[in-house]
Amino acid sequence: MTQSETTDNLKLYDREFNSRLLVGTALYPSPLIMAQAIKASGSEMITLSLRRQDPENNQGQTIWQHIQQSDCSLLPNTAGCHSAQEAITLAQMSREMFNTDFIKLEVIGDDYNLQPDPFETVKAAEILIKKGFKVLPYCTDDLVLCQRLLDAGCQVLMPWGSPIGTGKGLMNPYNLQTIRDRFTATSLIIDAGIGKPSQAMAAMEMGFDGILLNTAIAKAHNPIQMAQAFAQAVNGGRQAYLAGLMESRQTASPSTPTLGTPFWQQQ
Amino acid sequence: MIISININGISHDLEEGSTLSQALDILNINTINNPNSDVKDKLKFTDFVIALNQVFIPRSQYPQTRLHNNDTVELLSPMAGG
Repeated sequence: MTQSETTDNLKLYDREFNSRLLVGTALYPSPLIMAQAIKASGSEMITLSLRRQDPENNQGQTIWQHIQQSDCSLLPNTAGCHSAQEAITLAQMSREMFNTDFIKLEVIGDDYNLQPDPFETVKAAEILIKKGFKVLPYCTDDLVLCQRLLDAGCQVLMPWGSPIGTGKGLMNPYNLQTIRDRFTATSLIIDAGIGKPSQAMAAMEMGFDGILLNTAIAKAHNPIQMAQAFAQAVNGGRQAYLAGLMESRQTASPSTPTLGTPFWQQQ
Repeated sequence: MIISININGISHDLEEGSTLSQALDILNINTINNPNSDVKDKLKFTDFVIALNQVFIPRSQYPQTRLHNNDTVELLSPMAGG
């Protein structure tokens, strides 16, 4: 392994991770399969949430026990919040429950496509950063919104590929590439909408620093095998980005040397 | 006097002046005051966190936090998430 490979870690605030794949803990067929899929993914940071406990369904406690047994860092989310105040309260509750300053800030602005509310997200980010949180905001691929989140103090951005759970991949590659090109020093993670390993790989080839996904693994016929597939895709995409992709061309260009072509004289 | 508070969407009657700790005791939830309670199958103190009227209340403040009529308590525990 070369020096560059050993130091190519994902940087999230003051932490570094070998794996560039972050996975969610929801929607798996069982808590055991969740735990096995997380292990197969190689992920070192996993998302989770806080909810009212359902006395009729103790699965939350079972999932929590599996998560506690893993070596992964925790990234609690504020899923379901529709205002900055709700998200701030839930972030504070998460910090006490999970003993981490990391928070995946998620403030939904539209219930139909689960599009984040840019105004409330920025407002919440400003306050949470001042309270000492390490905010990873789930946001759209809007360049100005990303700039505002950076102005608020976010050191990581998580633009969507496409709406949560759709599996539609990178809906707007132009916007995503623009964000990547403009914020070269910021850790950028594609969060949401990734349905296939090829889509994750495409994002990594563009230079994104990591991928956060849940449904594509959890809802696969074999979540453990799919977790492995995503791990390989993310790694492959990263290696391709570091290696440097060739420029695409409009016209064909022979790869085999034309000098010395046989049968030249026969035509 | 009896006050009514809402915990996770369910209404409960309490004595006026009750603290958050006392409310949790009544609901058979371990608190900082009785971590060695012998009641089985109830939430452990470290298994939940609380917001009162949408404001986070740290565990250390449960004994001092007094409840008022129509207060809303959210008692949340770890759950899967994406």
